[in-house]
Amino acid sequence: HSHLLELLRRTTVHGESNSALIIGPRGSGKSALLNHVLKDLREMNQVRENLLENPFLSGLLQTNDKVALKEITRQLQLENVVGDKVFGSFAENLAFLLEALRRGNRTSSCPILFVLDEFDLFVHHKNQTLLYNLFDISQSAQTPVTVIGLTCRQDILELLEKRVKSRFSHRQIYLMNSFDFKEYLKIFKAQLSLPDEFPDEAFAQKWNNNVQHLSEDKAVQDVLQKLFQHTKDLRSLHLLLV
Amino acid sequence: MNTRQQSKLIYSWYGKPLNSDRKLRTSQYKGILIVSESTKTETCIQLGDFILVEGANADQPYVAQLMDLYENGSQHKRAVVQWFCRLAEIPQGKRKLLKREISAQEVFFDQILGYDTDIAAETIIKRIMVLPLHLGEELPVITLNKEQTFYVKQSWDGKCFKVLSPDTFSKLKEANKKRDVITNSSKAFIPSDILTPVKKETESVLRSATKSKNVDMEIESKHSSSKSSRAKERHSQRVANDDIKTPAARKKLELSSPTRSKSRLLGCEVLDLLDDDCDAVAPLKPSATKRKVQFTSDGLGSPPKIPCSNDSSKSASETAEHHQRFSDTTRLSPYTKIKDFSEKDKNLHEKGDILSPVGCQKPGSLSPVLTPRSRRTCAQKTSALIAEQISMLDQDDLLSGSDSSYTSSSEEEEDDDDDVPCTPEKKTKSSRPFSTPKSSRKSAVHTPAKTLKKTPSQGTPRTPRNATPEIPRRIQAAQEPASVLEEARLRLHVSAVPESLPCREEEFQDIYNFVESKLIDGTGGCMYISGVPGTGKTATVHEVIRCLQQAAENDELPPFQFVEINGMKLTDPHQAYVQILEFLTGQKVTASHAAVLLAKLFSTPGPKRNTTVLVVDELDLLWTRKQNVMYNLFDWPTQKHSKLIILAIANTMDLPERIMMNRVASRLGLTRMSFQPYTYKQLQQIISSRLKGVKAFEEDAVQLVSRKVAALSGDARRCLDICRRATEICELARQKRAPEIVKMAHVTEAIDEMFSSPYVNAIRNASLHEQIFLKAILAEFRRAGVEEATVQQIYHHHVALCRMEGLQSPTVSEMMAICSRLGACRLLLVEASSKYLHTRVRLNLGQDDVMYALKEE
Repeated sequence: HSHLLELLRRTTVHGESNSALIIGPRGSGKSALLNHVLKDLREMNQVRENLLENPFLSGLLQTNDKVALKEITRQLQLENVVGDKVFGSFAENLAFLLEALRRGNRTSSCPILFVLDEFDLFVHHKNQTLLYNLFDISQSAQTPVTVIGLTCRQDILELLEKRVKSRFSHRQIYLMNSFDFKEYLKIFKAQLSLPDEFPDEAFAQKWNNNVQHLSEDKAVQDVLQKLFQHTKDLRSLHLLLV
Repeated sequence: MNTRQQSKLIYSWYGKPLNSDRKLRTSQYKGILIVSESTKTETCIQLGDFILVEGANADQPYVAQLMDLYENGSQHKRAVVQWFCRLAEIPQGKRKLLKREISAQEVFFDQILGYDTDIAAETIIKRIMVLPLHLGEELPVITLNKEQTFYVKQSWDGKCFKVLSPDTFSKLKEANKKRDVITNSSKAFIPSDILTPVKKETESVLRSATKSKNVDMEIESKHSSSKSSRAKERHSQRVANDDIKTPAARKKLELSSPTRSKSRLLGCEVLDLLDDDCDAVAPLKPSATKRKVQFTSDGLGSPPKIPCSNDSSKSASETAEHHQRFSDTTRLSPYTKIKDFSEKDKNLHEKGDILSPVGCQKPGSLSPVLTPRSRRTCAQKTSALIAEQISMLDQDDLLSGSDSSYTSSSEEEEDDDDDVPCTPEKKTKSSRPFSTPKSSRKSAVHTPAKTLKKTPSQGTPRTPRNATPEIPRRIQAAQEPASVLEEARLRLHVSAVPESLPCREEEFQDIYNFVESKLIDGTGGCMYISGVPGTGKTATVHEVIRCLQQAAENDELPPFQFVEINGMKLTDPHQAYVQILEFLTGQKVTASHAAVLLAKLFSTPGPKRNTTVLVVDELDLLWTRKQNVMYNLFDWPTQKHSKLIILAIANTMDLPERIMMNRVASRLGLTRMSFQPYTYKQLQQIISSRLKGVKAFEEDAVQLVSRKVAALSGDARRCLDICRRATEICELARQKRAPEIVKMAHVTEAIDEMFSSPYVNAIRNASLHEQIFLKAILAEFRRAGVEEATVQQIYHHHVALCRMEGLQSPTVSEMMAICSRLGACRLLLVEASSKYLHTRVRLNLGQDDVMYALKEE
């Protein structure tokens, strides 16, 4: 968490370009981590003033580079410059965006954070043009750009083409569900307990006591144990509780 | 205008050879005859004439003066020229040396020695006018032949602008004078054996009759309205007669305040002329009459005359239209005091407004000169015509120019349509070469203020077509690095370009020498540069180009154009053409058209074209099935006149052999260079050179990084990334320790982070049943001896293992869930899951790794 926060802070404050991958199995909280970090970032004074724009792309939605580029243009609100001009071709679009990003330099432009969800799907785009260009910008003295990829595939680096790989900074943040059963129980309890600021205090007290009892119950523990042995995914726990 | 390009031109010598050299088998001529097949017009160009020569860009032909004409041994018609250069041809950096606004019509006497002055005679397009002016002199507003009149004030020798020497000035003047004589007596020159249509005759009559009169335009417009050539001839003669009278009147007008009788006479005269002009009597609209009255009154400062309106009622509708427009323009000027506008008038007024901003868009071409309040009708008329013409030309420019405007409003188009029938472009054009400089100058004096005053504040705002997008600026300035570590990190970023590239001196020198020699020779060539990613190929090439550009600026080398394309940044290999053409000429066309244009550009000898250095990055992505992109790219440099140097960059050394066809590979040539991966010593040097002056790294730490990277890939980018990460780790750990220096420990941590295999960690953190599943896979593999198994087989093992461990065995669907989870992480390679239990499964990593990961527990 602190690593990612620091990384993004530097991008915004110093205008440094970076790229990173967050890798972890499904349900390990990659997106949650990123959202949390972004929320923290927005609370920091310096960052808020520098207005961090972040196009969010998902590999499941932007199925090819053409769609992805259009989406980036839309999310960066560059359309106002374009006016009602319709982009003729993919090539024009790409040239347009590159031109836009090339204009900036480290000190004057607003930093941009690209979030690529389901990063592994972007890898399968033709020639990996989008990734190459994004990483290339992050490696050159243009508009400060941070590219964050989210994926669950452990072998993601092998999928990158060598020149794309060379441009990627090889920062990888691995997220693992590396907790044991005791911690699992704690999470279970924390999920069920009512927070302190609950309006009816007496009720909250009573509820939390019951949760405590529940977590010590043998039958409940058995069920949880079984689930834990099957999967450490927290989402399955949520599903069970619901 | 475009007919010139479409129609076929035939070039033939004019006159007999003056003197011929037996040995060289050359013979000189004093003129060349250009006959256009389609229009049957012919032009005779003499020595000393100013001409337009076909250039790289069809919209911007070169300007030159014809010095010599000869035919060489192989029957090729050649011409020796003295070049003039347009502003667009002068490098951007040098333009500021001028320190003044330059109109599009101004050219510079070219004294650069590097240009080829010997051109093929077939490239001559037509004759134009170039008028020498003194530096202080105001640029006269171009009147009749805006497109074909140029002005020269200064000379340009590649380094600085100089005032024309008196010698050249007088020479140029002389050339112009000589032209006059030729024009006036050109009838005698025209050989009788060539087709001389009636048109020709009338033109010559016209020419001789209206010497240096600014009524040329008037006549032209009348010509356009009259139908028969007979009438035309008769008419022009009449006009000539009239004109003899008019100058006297004009003189007087200028000297003294206009007397009533004189102005009356003049007004009548003009109206007479107009009257005469029309054969058919057409009913005239009342508004037109009114306007006409106003026109005469405004122009002459005398009350409207009854005979005038009587006369005008008879004039043709066409002339009326003409007058309408004219009076509109008159009204725009503040001098006119017209109060009553009819409804229609207003419409026209608006129209005129739209028209005039376009007309005045040409910056600097109009200079403010105070004009006399009273003005002759002729002058006004011509000025109105000029305004029209300017706008027409401008619109033409807009339409045919590189950025053909889509945004031109429909009103403008309407305007255009209206104008064309009245003063057809072709007509005016045919008159252009014959108008003498004197006349153009004369009428020019009258116009400037007029045209300037017409600039209204409410121009139609054009939406910028080529709006360049920009990322919004940040509000807060980026922070400067505060600590040593931050400084170091900044320097270690790949984007931080060092002053020099260490460890690539040899390659740098090789490429530099290659390009330099080609530049000096003015020939073309290819070079293929290969090397694994991150070995500094692109950086080195850019460094070379930078050095060359510097040398060119210091005049050690001939100037050149630099174009870069990147295969990765193209969406389609054919887009390469588009990008190259856009770099070279600024035109935006489709890929196939661009290819044609480029092929033409590189295969025809362009006399003034500079050498082009083209860098093609990521060459392998330009591969197409027929390989025509690559073929063309490497074929152009082999052409004789291409002056194209290609530096192709790619990752693989054997690319030419592997993917290129023979004909492509052979054209690529054998000039190759390969960038070896950096050795650890070189990497060490790179890091230390970047960190010069900043004490942030331990020596050993740097060495460890460079050795590690050199052993793996030799990628400098990786090396820098590791160092950067190490500084971050150091910074995090710094709180406890005071000294800010990156130690071995930090570097090791960074390396581990980057190179550690994620699999082992992933397995260790998997859930119990996932681990058991992996164990089951191993057991099944061992049993079957094949590295592949179905889920069913694994399931049996899994259940057995569970029994051994005393766990409850999972259900089949749970098994499938586990399997797909591992598959999503790519710990397993799972077949498409349609087969349910018979899905085949394979490990994505070595069995030993799995064993190792599981054993630890």
